[in-house]
Amino acid sequence: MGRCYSTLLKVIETWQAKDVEGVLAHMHEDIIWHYAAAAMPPIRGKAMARKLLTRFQQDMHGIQWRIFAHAEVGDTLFIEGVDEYQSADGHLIAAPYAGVLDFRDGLIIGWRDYVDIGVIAQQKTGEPLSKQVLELITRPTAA
Amino acid sequence: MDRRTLLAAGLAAGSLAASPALAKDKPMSRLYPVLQAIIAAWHRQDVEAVLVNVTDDIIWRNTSGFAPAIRGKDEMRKALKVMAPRIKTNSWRIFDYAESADRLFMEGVDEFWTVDGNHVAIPYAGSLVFRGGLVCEWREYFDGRISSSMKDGAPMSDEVKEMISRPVAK
Repeated sequence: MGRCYSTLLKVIETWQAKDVEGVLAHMHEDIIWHYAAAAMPPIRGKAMARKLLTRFQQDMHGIQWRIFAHAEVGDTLFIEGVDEYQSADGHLIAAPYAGVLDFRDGLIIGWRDYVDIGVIAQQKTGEPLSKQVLELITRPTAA
Repeated sequence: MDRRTLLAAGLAAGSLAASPALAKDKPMSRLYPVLQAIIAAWHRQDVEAVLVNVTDDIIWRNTSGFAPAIRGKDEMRKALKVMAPRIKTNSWRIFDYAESADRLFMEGVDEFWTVDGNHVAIPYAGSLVFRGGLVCEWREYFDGRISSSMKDGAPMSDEVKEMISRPVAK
């Protein structure tokens, strides 16, 4: 297992435990976090990341964030996965996505998640997961 | 760990501003040249030259789960033939990539100018799965709202400008 992916697994574990500070411990002070790449402005810096994570923490329940495939080269990790959770009003959200994480000194300094916000918006209205979303997310989790 | 990973290990990568594509001197990979051939073919709008690189049973998921997958080379041909005449100039390019066994991960932008004068730039990441040297699965992830709004003439946002102003991967 690559060292970048190993760090991501720790981030996932801490996030599923809703441990905001545990997640932040793996982020660089100067992180630039595109949590919805190109669709939303990026979060810049750890202080802003803390605010975003705290907000997410209130909106996401039963988090089942998982990774289906990954590869790393140098200090960059590529991932493909799903961000799955129950929204605060009880809807099942499952956003298939691809992400790219850049590391410096073992900490995440660049994080770009590419996701279709339109898919999430449909699910937040209570629509069931579409066939194509189910196809994307019913894959074995990566080792 | 493959040769490419070994060679690149230890090189610094930075934020988006300090792009990893600048920091890594990547040796030519086994799978990336296939993607480069596809990109070159699409720049020429040569649909058949694109298709020669994919399996007959390719599954092409080009909407992050918003729309059903395109299944099979014949359906992909139809989709590409609908797309090609709408594009005047095409600047699809890749900023960074990595590969693992039979899979190529990529980060890039699908940038083009339509025949009716709109400028579209869709930053994306995705993965290609290969079988026998051909692409058998193709998945692209991006926000479809960016695509549709720019096709309707919306200007490029600062976020998109920032994301696509990176050096192209070698």
